[in-house]
Amino acid sequence: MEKPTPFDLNEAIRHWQQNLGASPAFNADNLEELASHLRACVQKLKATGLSEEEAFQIAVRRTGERGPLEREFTKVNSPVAWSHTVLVFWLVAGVFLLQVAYSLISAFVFSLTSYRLWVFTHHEGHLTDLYRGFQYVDIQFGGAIAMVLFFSICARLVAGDWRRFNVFIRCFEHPLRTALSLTVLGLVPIALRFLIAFIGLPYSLPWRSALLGARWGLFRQGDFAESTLIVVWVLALVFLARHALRNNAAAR
Amino acid sequence: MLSKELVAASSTTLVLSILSEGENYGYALIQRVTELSAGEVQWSEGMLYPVLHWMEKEGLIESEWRQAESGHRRKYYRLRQKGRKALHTEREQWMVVNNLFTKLWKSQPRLT
Repeated sequence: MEKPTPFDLNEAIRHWQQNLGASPAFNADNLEELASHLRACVQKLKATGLSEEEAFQIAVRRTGERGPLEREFTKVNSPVAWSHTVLVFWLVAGVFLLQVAYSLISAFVFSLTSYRLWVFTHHEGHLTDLYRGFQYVDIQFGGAIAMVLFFSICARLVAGDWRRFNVFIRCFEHPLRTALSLTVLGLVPIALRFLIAFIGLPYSLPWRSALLGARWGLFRQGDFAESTLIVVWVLALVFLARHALRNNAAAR
Repeated sequence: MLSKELVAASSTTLVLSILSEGENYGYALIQRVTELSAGEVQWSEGMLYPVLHWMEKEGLIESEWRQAESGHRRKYYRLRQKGRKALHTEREQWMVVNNLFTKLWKSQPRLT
């Protein structure tokens, strides 16, 4: 005979709080206040002779499901929810726009250098430099295009539905999850490198340059350590900003 | 049951009035309104807490987390000076409406 697991009110309330907490409409203070409300409701219902579990079920139904509560709280907390989104958007936008600018400037410099080489030298030995110069141009342009694409996807995610972006941030909210996510992230450029090595097509093919450029742009020079640092830095900022905003809202 | 519009219109004044009796917490405010109106006015949590937070932001009331008898933390709200003044103005305005209806409905035969 299987024994039913005893009902734990604190655990049930914590679960309920966690479910609500997934929405940016509630700050830490709101969640605690709602939990305190739920507890008072449960006590009152228990006094009428209900079991703790029954009382909890009814109290949850009365306090309201997440949807309607979320709508009402968003109205009051909207400046918080709004600044969250905008802040993260500009953090991501800033980093990528900087990289795009870097790539475009480099592309310009490389094309200028190539042009000067072509104008001022007709020496055989410089042909390699000329070739390399032009190659860098499409690598840099490819990088810039890849970054604009990536940036648009991020912008779409943030503007479309905040919660979808939240899932991404969640990957880094726990040390173990961070380690796992970083390993996966680190494997991506390595896998990309292997892919390029195996494909082994002539270096000058435009699409291949673009692919290399994408790698250069997103993971500057393909350096794993550096790209990881950038990703960690952005995520740390996002994480800190989210917490600062939540705590601010709680202190108010 | 009171309509949604009237619940919304009267909520701030009701909160101010109940808090003028002394500090209180969210759950008790809902209980008090239900009890006083004999169930005619039902406040939802989704309505009350955002209103309380808005009133706090406006400086009408202030809040404090304290330990309740049960040992759990509870957030208590109390009136501030600005809230007291607001209650005074609100009261006068509601009295105008109240007087108006009283006069209008007294002159007519009762419907019930």
